[in-house]
Amino acid sequence: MNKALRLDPRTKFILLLGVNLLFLVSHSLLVEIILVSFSLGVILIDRKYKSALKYLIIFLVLLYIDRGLSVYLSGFYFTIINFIAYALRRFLPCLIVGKWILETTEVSDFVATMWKLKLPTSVIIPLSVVFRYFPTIKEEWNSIRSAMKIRGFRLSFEHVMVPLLFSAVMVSEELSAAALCRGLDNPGKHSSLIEIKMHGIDYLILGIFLIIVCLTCTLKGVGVIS
Amino acid sequence: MSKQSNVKKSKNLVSAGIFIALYFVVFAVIGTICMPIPPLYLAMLPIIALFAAPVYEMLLIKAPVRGAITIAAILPCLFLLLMGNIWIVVVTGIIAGVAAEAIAASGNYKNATRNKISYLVFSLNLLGGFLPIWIMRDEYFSSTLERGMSQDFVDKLEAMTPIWILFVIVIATILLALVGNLISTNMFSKHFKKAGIA
Repeated sequence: MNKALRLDPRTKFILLLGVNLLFLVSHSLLVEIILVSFSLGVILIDRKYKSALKYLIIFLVLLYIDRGLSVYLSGFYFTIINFIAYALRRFLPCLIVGKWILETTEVSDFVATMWKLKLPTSVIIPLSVVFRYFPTIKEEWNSIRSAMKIRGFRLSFEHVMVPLLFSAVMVSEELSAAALCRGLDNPGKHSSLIEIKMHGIDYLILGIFLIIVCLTCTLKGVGVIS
Repeated sequence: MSKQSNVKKSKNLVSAGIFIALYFVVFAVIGTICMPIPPLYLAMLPIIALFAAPVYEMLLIKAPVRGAITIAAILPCLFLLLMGNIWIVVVTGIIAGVAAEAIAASGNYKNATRNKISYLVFSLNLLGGFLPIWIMRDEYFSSTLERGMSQDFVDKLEAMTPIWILFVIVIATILLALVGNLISTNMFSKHFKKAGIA
């Protein structure tokens, strides 16, 4: 795994929100292409060449359906397909950035960022438990399923939910005992192995994004694009 | 004394995390089943409301701590945002979460009626995620009409996605949340109260 580039998680979330807000400001093709190239550029810097190529092809195909095929084809069903293709295409920049964040941000990065942002402990503790509990739920699910098979129960909501809730109650008690042993209730500052810091590349990417935002707003204000 | 209450609070926070995770899994499982199929996609919110009720009730019983409900409401919205949904979904999540939290907290998380109402409000957290259909629709119409799409097709497509579907979603969600709550109350008196957990 490439550790050369580690963007600050804060940068990532600002980008996600920014892209999400910007694509609603204007629905001109120009802004759309700028946004897609920007998000592709970001994941290219992060050396995600394969997914960048994949997204580029998806974008071009969706664009072709909307602009190319609609000249030859018409009809009710094509209109619906075209509508779906259009909506997917408009959301593509958000999807690219979102997927990239999910792939590149580890749980410990995320938790360290929350401490850095000085969020209240009533937010940090539940959230750090949430992400670490997911694998356990999968294990529990498998055990419940095999126990049901042994006893010949069919799959039903109650048969799954009740054992799952029982085990969740147990786990929550064990986990809080373990966490308290490690000083979770310590009111002071919690230290972390991971250092969250903004680097030059963060400022560079945010700067480029800011320029795009200004450009879009100016063009829209002047009336060049809709 | 303050140390003791701090321990209690930390315990509650950990439990809150566990049940928020369970709620998120319910959301994710139903979401993966519903998302790819358009009619089911619209029914996603009511279906989640039906199945998440026991988890919500357990969250209130085991983790009566401020903030837990709000986080539970916002987390799936943040996930949808990551998957490329519109930012409005987070706003509706925050509104639903904070309102549900306030209602439950006003009964100290123990008042059954208030908890029920709080679940109804809570269930509407993902409503904003469905708005893109209508926002995109208007945008799409204006862009296709510009390029010479006939008004006829636009009318047909418009007829397929009327705005009142949004109200149907809201009402169906509230109804199924009520049903889910009923099922979960039965489940609790049948299993958990007997076992001394609830």
